[in-house]
Amino acid sequence: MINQLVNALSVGAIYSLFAMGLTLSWGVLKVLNLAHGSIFMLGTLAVYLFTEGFGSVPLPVALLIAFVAAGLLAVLLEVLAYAPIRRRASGVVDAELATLLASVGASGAIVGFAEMVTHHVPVGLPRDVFEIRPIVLGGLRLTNIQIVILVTSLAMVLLLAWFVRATRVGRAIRAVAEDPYMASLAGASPVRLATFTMFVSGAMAGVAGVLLAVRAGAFGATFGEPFLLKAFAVIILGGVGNIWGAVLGAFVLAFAETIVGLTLGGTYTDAVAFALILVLLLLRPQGLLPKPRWQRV
Amino acid sequence: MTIADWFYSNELLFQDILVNILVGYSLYIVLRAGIFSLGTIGFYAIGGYTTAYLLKQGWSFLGAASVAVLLAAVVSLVLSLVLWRLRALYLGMATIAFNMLVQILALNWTPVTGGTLGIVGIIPQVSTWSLLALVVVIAALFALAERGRSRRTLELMRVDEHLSRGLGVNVDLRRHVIFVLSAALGGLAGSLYASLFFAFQPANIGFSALVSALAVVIIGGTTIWVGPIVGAVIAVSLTQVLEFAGDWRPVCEGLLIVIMAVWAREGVARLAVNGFTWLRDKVRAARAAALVQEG
Repeated sequence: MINQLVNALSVGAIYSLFAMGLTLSWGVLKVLNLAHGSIFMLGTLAVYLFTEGFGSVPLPVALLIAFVAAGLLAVLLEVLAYAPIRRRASGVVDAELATLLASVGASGAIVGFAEMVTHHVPVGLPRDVFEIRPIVLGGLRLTNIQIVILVTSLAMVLLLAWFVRATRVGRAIRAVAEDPYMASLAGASPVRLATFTMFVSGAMAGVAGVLLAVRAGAFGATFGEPFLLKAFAVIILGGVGNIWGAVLGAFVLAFAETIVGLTLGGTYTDAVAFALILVLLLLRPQGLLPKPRWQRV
Repeated sequence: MTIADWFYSNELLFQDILVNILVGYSLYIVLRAGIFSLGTIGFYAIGGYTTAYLLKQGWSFLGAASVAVLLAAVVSLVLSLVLWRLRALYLGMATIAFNMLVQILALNWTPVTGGTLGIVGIIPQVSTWSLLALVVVIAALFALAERGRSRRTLELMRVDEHLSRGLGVNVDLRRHVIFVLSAALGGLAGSLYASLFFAFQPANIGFSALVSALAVVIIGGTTIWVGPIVGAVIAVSLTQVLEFAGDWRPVCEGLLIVIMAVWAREGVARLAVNGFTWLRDKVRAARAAALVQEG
């Protein structure tokens, strides 16, 4: 029981990294990026291809590769698809729909590419990227990867929260989230900040992907897809564009799933996310930690 | 080779196109009215699994399809009532979450859905001709809806919901009706797929199914009633052409959606109509100029 709750901590940490990017692109750019799951996967695929070509790398290097590769892919989507759509759209709603459709297409293309590279079978990263060892702490049985996941995720989330809150660029991002036009009058460049936001969004997903692949031992082309549903629930729990809300939502979801899994059985865990989405949309659409509209992100 | 030979050697292809037209209309009707619902695949799944299950129990197609469409409509009505406040990305997200829930259900409710294997070995019961007749009737209804008052109402709802409320359009009721009609069409398409292609499996309702369905409406366009027909013909033909490309197919399909979303939101059908109008106006202008010269 207690071991599973500890396990829920590391699951929640991965959820929070994944959902962070999604809530960021939605909150700042009004892009519901359905390709986020495929970006999450592609970071790990990049590490896999790198190790195939150049031999194994230690985990920090693997995380860095995924960080850069997934971030660049997200930037590519922004520059080639989302930004042109925003430029050409007749209005905000029109742009939202077009980017939503484009992101579905992009996801299909990326997953298709990955299927081709992996020949439709799950593959694993080399074992010596990170060796999983059990750790016994008092009565707790942990693995070292669980601790790595928790520490890495918390560090990245704290860094992001500090960055958005305290730096000049972070303030500019918040300004763009509120009103791109007014932000541009004040000297911020919405185009450059959008690209930067998408990089951060993708990079965090890339890191989450590698952490999950190491923990699970294998990954496949579609292993990001189930996370979209979880991330939706997390975002709705926390409120769109709310960083701490997403962290809270991620751990609430992870613990809810663990408890449901323990009491009702494993098949029902996937339904928890959907149930949370429906109930919250009905009762509390502003999320658990509501902010006034002008404070998004 | 006579036309009949050509028809029968490509019959599966035609059936595929016809089913895709229905899927296309299911997405078209919501997007046309400015409703961000992508729940079509979920209702397609409900229709397909219900029909497949009932056919295996020895039901006739008409009975099974009626139950399947009705079930999809009832589920969609409940969902519509639950989601009636949601707009834009929130609605898109909730409907995609619904698709995923249906998929999870299909994978786990093994006694009914057959789990990962799906339901296989269904004996086809629908002729291509009756399918064609059905699609023609539905397309005609959509063409009729694009005339006069009903066209203006749809256009207004898409462009400005608040304005249409102000002008006395019962937006809430219309949104519910359109949502349920979309679900019924999706359910019908799934039902027909199950009874035409021998099997209904989780692979038919995954994310790639959503990609294919979106390809149909985005190629055809969401503002003109022939859109889904043009889209389905192009999308299915394209998959045939890309057959040789094998693994590249999903990549091409996905990229095509992105390209259309960026550069040709109106869709091929609208572009063709616009091109024709432009050409006609040019010709008329040239004629008028010639007349002026003569006169």
